[in-house]
Amino acid sequence: MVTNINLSAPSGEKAPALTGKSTLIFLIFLLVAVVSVYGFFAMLKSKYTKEEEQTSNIIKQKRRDLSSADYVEIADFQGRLNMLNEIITNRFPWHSFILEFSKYILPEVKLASFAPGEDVLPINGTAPNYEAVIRQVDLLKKFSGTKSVELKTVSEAMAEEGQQKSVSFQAELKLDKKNFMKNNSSNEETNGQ
Amino acid sequence: MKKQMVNKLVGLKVVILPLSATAAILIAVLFIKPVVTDVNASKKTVEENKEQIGKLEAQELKMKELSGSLSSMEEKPMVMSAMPEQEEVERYMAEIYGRVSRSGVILRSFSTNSGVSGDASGCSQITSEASSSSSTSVSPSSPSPSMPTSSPTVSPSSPSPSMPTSSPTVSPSSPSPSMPTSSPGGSPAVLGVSSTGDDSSSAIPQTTSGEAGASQTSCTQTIGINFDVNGSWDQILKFLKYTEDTSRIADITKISIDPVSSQNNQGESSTLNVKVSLSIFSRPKSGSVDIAQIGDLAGGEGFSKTALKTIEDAIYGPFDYNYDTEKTSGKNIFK
Repeated sequence: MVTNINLSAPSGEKAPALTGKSTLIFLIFLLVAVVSVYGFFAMLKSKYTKEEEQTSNIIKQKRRDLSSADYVEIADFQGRLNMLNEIITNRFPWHSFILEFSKYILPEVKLASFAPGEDVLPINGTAPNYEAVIRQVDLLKKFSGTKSVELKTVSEAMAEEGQQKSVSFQAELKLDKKNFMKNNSSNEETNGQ
Repeated sequence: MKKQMVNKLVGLKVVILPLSATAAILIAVLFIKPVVTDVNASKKTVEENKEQIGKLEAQELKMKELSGSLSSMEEKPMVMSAMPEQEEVERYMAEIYGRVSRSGVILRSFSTNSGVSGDASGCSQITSEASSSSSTSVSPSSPSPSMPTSSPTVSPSSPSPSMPTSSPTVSPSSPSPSMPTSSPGGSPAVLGVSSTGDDSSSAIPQTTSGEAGASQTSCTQTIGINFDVNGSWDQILKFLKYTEDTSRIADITKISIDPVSSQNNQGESSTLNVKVSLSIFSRPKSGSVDIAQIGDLAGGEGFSKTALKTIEDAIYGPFDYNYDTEKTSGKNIFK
C-alpha cells in the first residue's frame, strides 16, 4: 500500500503578500525609526551636555565668588578659632598639675626640685625616715598624672649638728599626661556645674 | 527556469525581514545605546550640578550673613588678641609684666625666639623678629626699664605693660610703653631682658576640629618665650595660673621649679625660681580662601561655637586668686 501525500501548495490558495514594495516600505520604516531614536537621543545628549556645561560654569562662578576677598576674613577668623581651640584643648594644665601633685606630697617630705621632662618627672627629695619614703612612693602611685613610680635610690643623709636625721631619696615618676588632662577637665566640668 | 528565479527572489524577501531586524538591533546596540548611556550620565551630572548650585547659593547667602555678623561680633577682638596677625611679642611681654605685678613674683629674665609652623605656601620663612640678634638687657637699678627692643615692630602705639589683664581686648592704640612704677601685687623688677636670635619652630597639628569642621591650611607662627621668675610658692602658682589665662593664648612647653633659698622663717615661704618656656602664636591674614573650608563653614552653624566657648573659658574662666589657705594653694613641695 502506497501513501499518497501531496506536498505542493494548492493552486487556489494565495501566497503571503510579501511583495518587493512592502518590504521596501518596511525597511524604510525601520530605517526611519532607528534614525529617529538615534536622533532623539543625540538631541537629548546635546541638550544635557550644553546644560552640564552651563551648570559647571555657574558652579565655577559661584565658587569664585565664595573664594573672593569678601569672604577671606570669615575663613581667616574661623581658621583662627579652630587653631586656638586646638591649642587650648591640647595644652597641658601645668598650674593644675602642680597644685594636684602637691597634694600627693606628704607634709614631712620635701622635694629639691621640680623639673618634669616630656613623660618623666625625676623626684629628688628628703624624708624624715625610710617609712615616710615608702609611704610617699605609695601615695604618688595614686596620683592621676602618674603611670608608674620607680624608686631609684634611698640613702640616709648626713645630719648636721642640731638637725634631725633625714633620708634622701630619688625616684622617677612616669607621667600620664593624657589621663591627668582627662581627669582635670572632668573635674573642671563638675566644679562648673 | 524563470519560475525558479522568481521563487529565489521571494525567498530572499523572506530573509530580508529578519536580517533587517537584526541590523536594527545591532545599530541600536552599537550606536543608540552609548548615546543613551551618555544621556543618562549627562542627566545625572546636570542634576548633581543643579543640586550643588543650590547648595552654593545657600552657602553664599550664609556667608553674606556671617560677613555681616563678623564685623559686629563681640568675640572678634578676643579671638584677634588670642592669636593676632602680627607677632607682637612686646604686647605679650606687657601682659606678662602685668601678671608679674599682680602675682608679686620678680621677673628675672625674658627672651624670645620665633619660628613658623604650618604648611601653607608663603609661610616657610623664619620671621624677621627672630632673626634679630640684638640683645637688650636692663639693669635692676634702672629707674624706667624699657620694653624689649629686639622687634622692629615695637612702636609708641604698643600697649602699656600695666594694661588691665582681665580685659580680653588689647587696643592697638593703647598708650604709654613705659613700665609702671607701682602695681597692686608689689613692684615687679625686671632684672634682665634679652632677645636672642634663636630660631625654633614647632609643628602645630593641622586641625579639623570645631563645629564647622573646617580643615585648616594654616600658617600659624609659633613664638617661643622663655622667662625666669622668682617668688614664693603661692606667688608662683598664682603666676602660672595667670599665664594660662592671658588674653594672648600661650602654651607652656617646659617648666622647672627650684628653691633659691631654704630659709624657713615662720609664716614666710622660701623663695623659688621658676623657668618657664612657652609658646605664643600668631597667624598672618591669609590672602586666599579654601573652598572646602568655606563649604564647611557655611554648611554648618557658622562660626564654631565650641571653639568660641573654649577660648572664652580659657581667658575668662572663673578662678579663685586667693591663695590664703593650703586648700587652694596646695602644699609647698619644697618645704
